[in-house]
Amino acid sequence: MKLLSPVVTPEATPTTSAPRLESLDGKRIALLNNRKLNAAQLLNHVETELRLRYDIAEVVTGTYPASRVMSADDLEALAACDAVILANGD
Amino acid sequence: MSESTHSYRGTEVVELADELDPIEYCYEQGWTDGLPVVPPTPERVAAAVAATGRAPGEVVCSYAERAREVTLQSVAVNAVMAGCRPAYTPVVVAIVEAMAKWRGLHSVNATTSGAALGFIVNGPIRSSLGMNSRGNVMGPGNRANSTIGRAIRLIQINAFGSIPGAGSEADLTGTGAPILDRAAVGQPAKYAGFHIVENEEDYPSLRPLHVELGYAPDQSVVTVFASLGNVQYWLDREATSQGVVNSLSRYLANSGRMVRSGWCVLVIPPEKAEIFVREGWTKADIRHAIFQATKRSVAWVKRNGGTMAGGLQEREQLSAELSPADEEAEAAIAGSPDDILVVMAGGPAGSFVHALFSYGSLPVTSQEIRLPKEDA
Repeated sequence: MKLLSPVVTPEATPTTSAPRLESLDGKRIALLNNRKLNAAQLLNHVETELRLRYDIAEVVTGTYPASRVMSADDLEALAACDAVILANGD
Repeated sequence: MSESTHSYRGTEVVELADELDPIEYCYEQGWTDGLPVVPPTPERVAAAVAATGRAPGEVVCSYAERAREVTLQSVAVNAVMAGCRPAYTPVVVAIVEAMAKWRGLHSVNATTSGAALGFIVNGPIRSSLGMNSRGNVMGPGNRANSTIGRAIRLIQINAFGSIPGAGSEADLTGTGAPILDRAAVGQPAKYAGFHIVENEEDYPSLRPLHVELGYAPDQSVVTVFASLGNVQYWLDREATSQGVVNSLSRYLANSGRMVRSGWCVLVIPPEKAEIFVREGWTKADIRHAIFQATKRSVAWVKRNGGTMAGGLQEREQLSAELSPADEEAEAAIAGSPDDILVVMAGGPAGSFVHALFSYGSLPVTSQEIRLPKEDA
């Protein structure tokens, strides 16, 4: 007997990581939470720690859609940032 | 009947040795929802695809978050496994197409909340498929109601990758596939969905849901949503429309499901539906009356220990201390009167109204069911 598999396999597009920054000094950092309460609190601590360790130019805080691929507009808004940190909380 | 052995993205053909039981084989592959499935033979799948009049390789859902392209044939394979007759396949495809354009696609596949997909069927296809809009409309017994809903769950497992796990690690399928459905509790509707079929015939004075949403009466339409659960309210002392609205709204306001955005589906069986019809109420009248009667301030919700069930920002608002702004901010059982979907369905025995509550602030979405030209 022949059967057809019901499974759809992922077709991931190969990507490469962005070049790592040598330092966060003088950089603009985005801290984005997944719109859940604990993630925002976690990022507050992250910002405190980062500012103790680096001379950060600016921190941009906000949210990102954890259940959707970020849109072109979302990404455009981050283009001015040197680094982005995403946090998932609940 | 022709045999389709061509493999379209993800529908690999496997050949079983004669001694293998195909039902057990499907279990071993982790292809089931825990219940036995109909073996998806090429002949059965070809018949299901043919019933759509569309190409098997057509992509009906691009699921970017999981990098999957779901073809019509993949949908058909899962529909066969669920027990669908070939003629049901266009409905299953339409539900997947609705999910594809909906911002809840990944949420409902990934959430730990146990949200289940629901769908409301309207239009001529209800009768041509023999769907049940009366007693046990959301329960067992009717093949189309049950298997269309089950097909969606199998698609969520097999095509969308939502392999259910038991807690954080244990693999229920025993295949080692990644567990991407880690619902804390889950719910029975995750087997066959909240399948609702509107009774359009018995209430000609009321516009069917799809007509209210802008479709023509002769179009067949599915309206898709994700729900965290449902409650049935017993309203046996209420003999007037306003009496039903008042009692139902009191229950709803205290249901823990108050929102500032989001929707509510109300399924009204004949005993109560006939009161509204007799008194000349329209569905718009019902929607507006329920919305007004459930409206409360956010401060009221907080003082009464209630929860805001809508989007994440609403939950954040609730968790904050009571503020003067909360006296002005309003909540209700849905974001607006238009977000209360009124559906007439069910059997005559019992004085009930059935409510289904939204999962977060995800919207509902509708999709016309495309039929082959000769069937349209």
